Amino acid sequence: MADSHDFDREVDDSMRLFERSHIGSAVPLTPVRASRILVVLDGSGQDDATVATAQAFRDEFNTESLFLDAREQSSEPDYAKKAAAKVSGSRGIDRPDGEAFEAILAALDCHRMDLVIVPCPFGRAFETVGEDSVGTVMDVLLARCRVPILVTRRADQVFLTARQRVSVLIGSECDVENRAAAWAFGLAGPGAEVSLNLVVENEHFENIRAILDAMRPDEPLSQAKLTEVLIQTHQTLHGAMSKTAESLSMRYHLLPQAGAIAPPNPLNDPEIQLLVMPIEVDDRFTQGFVHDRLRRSPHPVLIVPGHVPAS
Amino acid sequence: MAGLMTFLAASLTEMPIDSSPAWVMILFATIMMATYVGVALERYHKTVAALTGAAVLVVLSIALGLFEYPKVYEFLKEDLNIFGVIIGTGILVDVVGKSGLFHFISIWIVRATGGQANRLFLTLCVVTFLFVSVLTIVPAMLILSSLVLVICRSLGYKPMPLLLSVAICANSGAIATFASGLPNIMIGTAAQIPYVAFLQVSLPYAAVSLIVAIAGLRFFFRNDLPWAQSANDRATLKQQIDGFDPWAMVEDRRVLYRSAAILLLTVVGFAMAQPLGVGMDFIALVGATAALFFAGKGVEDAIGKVNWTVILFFMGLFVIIGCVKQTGALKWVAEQVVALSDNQLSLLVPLMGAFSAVASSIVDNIPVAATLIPIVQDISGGDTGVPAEPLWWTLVICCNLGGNGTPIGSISCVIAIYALKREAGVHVSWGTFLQLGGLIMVFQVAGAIAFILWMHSQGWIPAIPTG
Repeated sequence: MADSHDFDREVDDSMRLFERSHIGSAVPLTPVRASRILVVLDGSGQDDATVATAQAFRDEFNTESLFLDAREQSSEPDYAKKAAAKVSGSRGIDRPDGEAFEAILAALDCHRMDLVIVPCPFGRAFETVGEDSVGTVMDVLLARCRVPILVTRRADQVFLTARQRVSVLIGSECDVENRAAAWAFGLAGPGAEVSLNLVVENEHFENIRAILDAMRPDEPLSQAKLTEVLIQTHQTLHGAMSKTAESLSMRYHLLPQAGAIAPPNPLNDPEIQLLVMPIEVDDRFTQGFVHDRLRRSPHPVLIVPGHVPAS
Repeated sequence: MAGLMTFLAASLTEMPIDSSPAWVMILFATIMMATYVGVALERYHKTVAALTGAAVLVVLSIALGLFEYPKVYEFLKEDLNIFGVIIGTGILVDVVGKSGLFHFISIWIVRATGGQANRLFLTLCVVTFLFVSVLTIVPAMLILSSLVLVICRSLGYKPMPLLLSVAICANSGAIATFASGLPNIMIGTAAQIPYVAFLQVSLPYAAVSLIVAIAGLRFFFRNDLPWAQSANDRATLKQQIDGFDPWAMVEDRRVLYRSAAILLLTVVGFAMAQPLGVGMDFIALVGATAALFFAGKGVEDAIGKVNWTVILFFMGLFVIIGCVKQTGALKWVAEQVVALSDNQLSLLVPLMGAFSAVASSIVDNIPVAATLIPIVQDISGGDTGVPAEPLWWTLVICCNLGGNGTPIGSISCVIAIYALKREAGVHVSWGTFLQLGGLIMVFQVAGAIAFILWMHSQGWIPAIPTG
């Protein structure tokens, strides 16, 4: 004879895991790839990495690239044209007037680009400010840019290598998460490992728990419970990404990170990867999450914006 | 480690025991039986019942001058390797389970059935057997019962036939190897049965008992599942079952691959333990360490999942058995059994098989095995001339298969019936279960007795190495 206590939770956990596999009729995403990109140069040492990224886009996606030297003051008038000469199918463009971020936004509007590649922090080497600031240019682009932004960070984080491991980071409900995932698959390399990271940082988790504990003291919120809720609320995206990875012969996994510590410092992650994050510019919480992750990331970051007000 | 095991086993079996007065034997046996009744009735938690019984008997033993207190440590010394196996396999199974390996395999296999009732039924029976043989009953049942509930919900099948099939086939899987069930670990350790011997004796009969179970289940549920399905039905089911993607459950493929490799190596390690000169506990703990090192994310969590309840239950139980053994009561029972059977194996094996199966269907099979181990040692020891091997294998097989006899006989049936009630609102009555499980148990136990006697008559039961 045997006792039956404590089986409820374990059977429930196991059933939820099986239900996670029931992706049913989820439709695979159509990977999005850029055909025209704006390559922003800042005259810093990061430009080599930016040019290499543009070359990778050309080689992999046959992309047309426009090079813009966005510096407000430059002693080399042909800097963009010279850089463009290194990449086939590219050309330099004249800098529109205004500050660096104005020049970039104006060029994007004028030339109808699909994607912009921007070094961050703009005009400085990554090591000078490290994870402490993304700079004004990036702050403004995060608020106003209507096309996805591929942010190049530390020089050793080569895009061609990074695209073999793509992490889609979702910090909260976001309307453009499917589009971000489609971009992630579009940029991922052959046989890449793509993950959907559902992140609720520990401080946020503690806040939610304190509220729920006050409301329902008899139903404490655990990290495991929150993990399951995260999975349930992203089941459709998870199913779509799973099917997409299967159809593209890529590896995919779901990584719920409920109660992630503070968050795990990406600067300590030695594995080169591409981070992909959706952002709703009218959602302050998402903005904060993306800004923080971008600031702390040595890896290239693709930011897919939504809800950008018309200029 | 192996040397220590040998020394401990030898010291216990060779302990000269003077019989106590009859009233002492009766008193101690009564307390032991009262503890078992407490375990069976679940009036108190089984661990509390066992520890209480142990405390009472130790106090009585010291008061009656049966032994000095340090003797209790000798009772427990024998359990150290069993505890090692339980701790090691507990951690290993938790870490491997968290990798999603078994969930992945089960969905992958179920998808291959196309959702057809007959294929699904057969596949679940076989998968249950394999999972239990690797994972032990509880983790395997938690995975498979939830799988059945989810699949049945999705495909529109009644869950009872499949869930009870899983529960009953689990008890066949439990006799497959040394590490597939706690009674096996206890008996295998006490009798020093090598892992490979399980593959030679209990595994073949495990397969036979599985076939018996499948035949019985198929007949019993002949009207409960749509066994004959049209081409259209099959196409619809295929579409439904293809909606399950095994990879969608896997968080990290590298952890999955590593977990599979560690588990495989541990199973190979169990088989190689004796030639390597180490104990099963060493292999289990090395496997657990490797799992924590290479595949574990939550070390504290995995260690916390070790079944401390069972370990404490074992401690209480072994102290109880040790105390009762010191009175000479178990030796007396062994003498009566030998006298009753006239030292005839053809009587001893059926007696042992029937008793252990019936007792296990009423009480937890762990105390049944724990009580019968010293009795088998006494029956086969000394100059009785009775070979121990057939009795050990009878005990291994019948203690496990006895669980099919009643709805409370084994943890697999308890989990299945509980899950059916809670998740599907289906109540399985004692009458229904006795018709199904009870009958299957009778055939399986009768078959086991015949199998052991036949194997012995052919000289095919491997001798257990001594020393």
